Amino acid sequence: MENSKIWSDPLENVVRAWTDAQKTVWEKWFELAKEAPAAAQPASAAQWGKLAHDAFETWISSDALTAKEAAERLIASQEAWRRSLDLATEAWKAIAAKMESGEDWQSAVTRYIEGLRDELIHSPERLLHSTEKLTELWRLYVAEFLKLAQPWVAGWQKAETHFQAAATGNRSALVELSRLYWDSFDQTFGRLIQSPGLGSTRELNDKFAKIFAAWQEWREASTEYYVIMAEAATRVLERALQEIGSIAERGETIQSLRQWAQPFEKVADPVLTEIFASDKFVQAQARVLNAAMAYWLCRREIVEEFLKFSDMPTRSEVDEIHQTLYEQRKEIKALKKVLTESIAVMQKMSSTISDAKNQHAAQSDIEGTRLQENQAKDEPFSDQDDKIISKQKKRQRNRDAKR
Amino acid sequence: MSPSSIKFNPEQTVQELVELNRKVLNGIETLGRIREEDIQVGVSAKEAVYREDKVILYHYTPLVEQRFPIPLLVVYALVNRPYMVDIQEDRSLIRKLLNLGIDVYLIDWGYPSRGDRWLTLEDYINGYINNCVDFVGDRHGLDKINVLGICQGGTFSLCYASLNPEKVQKLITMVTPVDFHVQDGLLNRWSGCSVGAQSVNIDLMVDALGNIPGSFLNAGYLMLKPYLLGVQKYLDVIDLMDNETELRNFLRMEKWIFDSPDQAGEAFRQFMKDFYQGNKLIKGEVKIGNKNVDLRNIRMPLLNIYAEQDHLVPPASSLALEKFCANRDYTVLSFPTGHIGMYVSGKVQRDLPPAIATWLRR
Repeated sequence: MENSKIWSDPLENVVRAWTDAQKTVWEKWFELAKEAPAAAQPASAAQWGKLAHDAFETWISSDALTAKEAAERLIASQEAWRRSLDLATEAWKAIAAKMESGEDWQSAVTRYIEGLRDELIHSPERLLHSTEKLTELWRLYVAEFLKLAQPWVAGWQKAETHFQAAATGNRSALVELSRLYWDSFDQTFGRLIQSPGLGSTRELNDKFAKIFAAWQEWREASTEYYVIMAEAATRVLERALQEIGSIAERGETIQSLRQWAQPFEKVADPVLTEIFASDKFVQAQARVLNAAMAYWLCRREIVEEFLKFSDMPTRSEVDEIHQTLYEQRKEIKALKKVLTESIAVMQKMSSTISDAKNQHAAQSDIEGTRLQENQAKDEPFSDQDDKIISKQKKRQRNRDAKR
Repeated sequence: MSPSSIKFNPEQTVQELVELNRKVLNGIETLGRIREEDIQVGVSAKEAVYREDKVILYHYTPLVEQRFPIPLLVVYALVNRPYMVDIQEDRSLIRKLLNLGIDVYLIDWGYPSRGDRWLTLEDYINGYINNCVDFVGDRHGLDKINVLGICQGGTFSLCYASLNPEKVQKLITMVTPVDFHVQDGLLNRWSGCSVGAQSVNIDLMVDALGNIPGSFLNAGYLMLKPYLLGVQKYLDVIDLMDNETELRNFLRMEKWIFDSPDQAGEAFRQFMKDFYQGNKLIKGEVKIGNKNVDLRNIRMPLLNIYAEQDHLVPPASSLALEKFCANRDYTVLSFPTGHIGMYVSGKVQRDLPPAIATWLRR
């Protein structure tokens, strides 16, 4: 479980997009409920919300770890209820007002959704475009990178002015501009890192240029992903409103909060599943994951330079040690297996030899006993006995001859 | 539709909220009583009989005198903890099998750490599984034993049985993915079966992260049904809050869902690239060690169990086994539930264990 914390850093945009999409849809849904006619509920709802929140806070302070963790997750989802019921929404008012002024419900819903779509989807794109300028990107990047290498990068922030001079705002030329930047940086602040321990400065500069490009790709991919998630959330809301429309067309009414939630519950996962299965979503998700991983690797390269400089073991070195240990462990296992099998074979052979010896000894004993018995009885030897004796005499003669 | 279609009845709404408050207050009292030890999982008595690295082979204490002579080895997935099959007394596949006289062993993979980053599928299949099978066989004086593979463990069991058919008497696969390019599986699509080269770069991921964090994978599983698993479930729990037994059941499930071990990097790399992206299992191109896995080698009796509403392993993915294993003694069994329902639904708890026991005794 040791990795569980660290991954959330490069992938936090993905996770944030997932979480935001859920919260957004849920909140918007209950914002709509808030402005429903006969709204006797707000005071009670707020009261309930506070009570529920306090209750879960109490739960969180429980000793039981599982209960505590479950409560934290529960709060995250209940929070959407609480907030949505606390905050007034203009949405339902807007729709209701339009309907009361004679506009049909479908166009009222469509308009509302369009507004929401604009707010959710176009905002991050605007954000991306507004920060196209390299200077702005650089400022954001340094802020991001500072988290990682606080002690070393303080001086780099000063580089912004040089960067600004080199920047043209052309996003496609970022990498090349980064190189240009680092060339000028080398002449100004480069001395700071021209310590022998850091190796080739040019090489290190390349790594910086690479990580900047990786960071930019990650940022763009995250924005693209966020847009798709926001679109998904909007589509759920749209479909749920249409569901309400159908309820109304059937002449039914919604009279309780639970009933209000039902259309949403009905459409949410099917709509999201449909979007998540699309090639567009799969590609966007893959892009953001790949970008996050590439950025992670670039970051590691730089961190490792600093670690080497500080005489500290690097992740790559530790991985290498683990790999060696793994291979040796595997080799030992294989040797042990061969050894165990060899011992078993040897034991089997030894047991066979021992059995043969015992059998032979037993046979000799029998023959010896019989010979002694015959001698003791002074009975004439049998033909067989003659042969044995003559063999024994022959062996004795041979031995004497050898001597 | 007119605005008046939304007619919240003030009295009913207030009553709803009062009822919610009541449940929450009762829940607080109940929760105050629940301690970690009250939500223990993996309830049946068992003994660790074999250990290798972080892997432990457990033998469950038999519950009846008359036992079926061939033991059953349960091979679970790497991605979650195996105590799901024994999560609580009244929801335990293991316990019910023990009551039916089946002698049960289970492989617990443990929690791989960074030191296990280089473990490969060969280590898992030719190493750990093979050693556990040998151990159980030796212990019972048998050349062959029965194997039950669950989910990813089922895929591993298929590979193992294909490579070592002489060691498996009967094979059971449960909610097991076989055809990884079945298009209606979101996991299949996210892994890249539809977009090819534009899919997630597994090499990059393993190179960057080493072991793949369990919590990262878990976030992905929850995304498969974001509303149900992220919102609805927690709203529904309010209804359970004044029922201590139900609340404990809920907490046990929460414990299991979020108890996700990290995945050994190299094993994850091969599983994702060869199985999910390359769909090599059904092509006979998966290589474990220096041998190819050929599903046609699986000629022992085979029972394939799947969940009809499985969102993780689509039924079509499991059902593909029949086509590729070419096994004459092939039985298929399904239940009208989802992937998780296979462990906890009442119907499955009632019908699955006797079905397995009967099939094994055939």
